Amino acid sequence: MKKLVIIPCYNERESIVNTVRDIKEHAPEFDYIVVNDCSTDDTLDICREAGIHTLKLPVNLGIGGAVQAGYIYGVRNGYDIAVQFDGDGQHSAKYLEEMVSTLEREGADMVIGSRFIAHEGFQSSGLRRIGIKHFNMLIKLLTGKRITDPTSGMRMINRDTMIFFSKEYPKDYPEPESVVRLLSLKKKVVELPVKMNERQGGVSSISAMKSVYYMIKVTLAMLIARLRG
Amino acid sequence: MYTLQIVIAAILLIWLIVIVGNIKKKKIDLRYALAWIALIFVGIILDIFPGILGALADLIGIEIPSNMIFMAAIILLLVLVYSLTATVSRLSDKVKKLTQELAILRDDTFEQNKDK
Repeated sequence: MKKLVIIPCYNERESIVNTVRDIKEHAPEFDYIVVNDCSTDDTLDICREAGIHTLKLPVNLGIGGAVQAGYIYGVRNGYDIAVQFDGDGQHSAKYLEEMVSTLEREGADMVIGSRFIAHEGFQSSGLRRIGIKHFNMLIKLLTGKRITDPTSGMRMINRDTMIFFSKEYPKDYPEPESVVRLLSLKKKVVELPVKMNERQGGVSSISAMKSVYYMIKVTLAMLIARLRG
Repeated sequence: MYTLQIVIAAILLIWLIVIVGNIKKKKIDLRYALAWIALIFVGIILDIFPGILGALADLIGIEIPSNMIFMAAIILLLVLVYSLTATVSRLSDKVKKLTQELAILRDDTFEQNKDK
């Protein structure tokens, strides 16, 4: 079984080398690809020096476009499983094997590493938590399913889902919307408790100001995603 | 409720349904359609509570409330067109970069094939 870790990366010069090291150490049966979303700092140079395999986007696409590029790569290179993994040090590679066994055992289309099942580790800032609660309620309402961490960037998918996402994936804030999309297509989404860390360096791509815009846009997108069915 | 209010509400709702339908069919991006959806909601609120427009007109010093509607509509359209201008600018910049990268990539490939 060919397994791929997709690491979307925008200006993560402090943490990208450690992230790849973590994966090589704790998940050696996984291949990885760093998707450099046209970083403006020297992330690309650092990757080149460390011999890190990167997909070099010539133009900035945002997290949605970058991850989708990873999925397209995964499809074209015959991968059976792809997992999104943040390049900022928030995720731990030690959970990857467990995610694979969960995916296979449950016959799931997507396995999400959730921060909020066991409530351990970094639980995210207050404002974000309110936003996440809002999305949880909305997902329950729209799909009947209880997803505790729809915005989690630690998501593993099987090949069918990879093919689907390679053709259709939201550009902005894709995580909650894509979960609703899968659920509305009656795909199986399963969660696994994981512990996440605070980001090591760099800056989050979602500022406080953008949060309101984010909430409105994603809410609307989720409603429409449910409609499309 | 005046007939005009009902007619306008109907038009706005049909417009909303058409836009959502187009988003579903992936003809337009939700990101850019957001402005139009916001416009429709503002329009519906002003339609149901025409008093708001009247109050605003008095506040600003406009004599005839219908002029208020025209002014509001023109301002909203200008804002929308401006945001489209900004979007087009960013897009043309991206296209330029892609074109340049492609040219350089073609050259690299050409050079590689020559050496074989």
